[in-house]
Amino acid sequence: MQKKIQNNIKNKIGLSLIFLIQLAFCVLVIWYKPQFWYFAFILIFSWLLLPPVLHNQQKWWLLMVFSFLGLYCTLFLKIYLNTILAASIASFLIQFVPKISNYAKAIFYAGAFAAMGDFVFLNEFSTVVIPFVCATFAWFTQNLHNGIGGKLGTIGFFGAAIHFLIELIIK
Amino acid sequence: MNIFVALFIFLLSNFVLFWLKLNHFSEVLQMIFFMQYMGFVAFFTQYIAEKFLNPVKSSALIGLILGIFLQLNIPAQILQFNVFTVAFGATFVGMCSAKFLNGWAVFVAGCLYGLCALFTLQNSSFIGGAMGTLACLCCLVVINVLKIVQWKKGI
Repeated sequence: MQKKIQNNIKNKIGLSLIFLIQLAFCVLVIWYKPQFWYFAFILIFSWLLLPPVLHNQQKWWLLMVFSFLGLYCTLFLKIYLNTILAASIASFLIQFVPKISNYAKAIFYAGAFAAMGDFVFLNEFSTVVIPFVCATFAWFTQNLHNGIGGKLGTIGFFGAAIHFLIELIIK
Repeated sequence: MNIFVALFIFLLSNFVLFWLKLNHFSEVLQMIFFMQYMGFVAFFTQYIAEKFLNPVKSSALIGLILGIFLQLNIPAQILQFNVFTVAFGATFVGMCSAKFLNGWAVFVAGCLYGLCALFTLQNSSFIGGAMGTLACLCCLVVINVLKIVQWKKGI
């Protein structure tokens, strides 16, 4: 019973986080180009009905490790290759590692997306903040939006956006 | 169909892009072609994911092909966008499960993604994951529209 309540709270937090990050994306788009105000309708339409909730039990530390690996591999490969190739090579190869849950391997991809941004560089700051945020967000949303394209991208966007904000405040 | 045949068809379709030299066409035609290409990439990613691999592998494999094209500096500009960069985002739309979107619906979601990408990605792509967020929004919009249509029809 207590577990059910905990799951409920977790799902609600996850749902609010997804909404907030999509809202932030829309605000960013409309902020730069106010003439595209009607882009807000996309957000409204996407939240009319919610997809079904599935039950997963993932370990937070495993998600953290995999998002870190995704970020690190992509940032490393970005030195030699273009961002798309860097993100997809490592993510494709990691999928063939056995005995690891599919969700954890997918979070590797989310870490790779976060690293695709222009301002993310390999330093002690990005390698701590982004994996932590991505893993926490992925843990909260593990039961939500499963099987919907772009969920991993949203996780990556959240990590990258928080990193961008913190760096902006510090500098 | 074998996975290699499917990938060969995808490669061939990409080469059509270079031969057409779309810069000479009008803006509206370029936009329509851009949207259709995004829809095609999304459809193709889902097709490979459903028939041969899982969604993440499928998206990464298509991303690998697009990345190689990009690395080779093959010119494929449509309306100031590099088609291969934006098409990587369309593979995220294709990661949608067939439970939610069938082939045609994924194609439509991909087209919607292409249209939105034309107007939004110029100012937001500096943050990683922007293409994924846009893909998620487009998928959810098409899923909800389909649900509403089914509900209206009483299915």
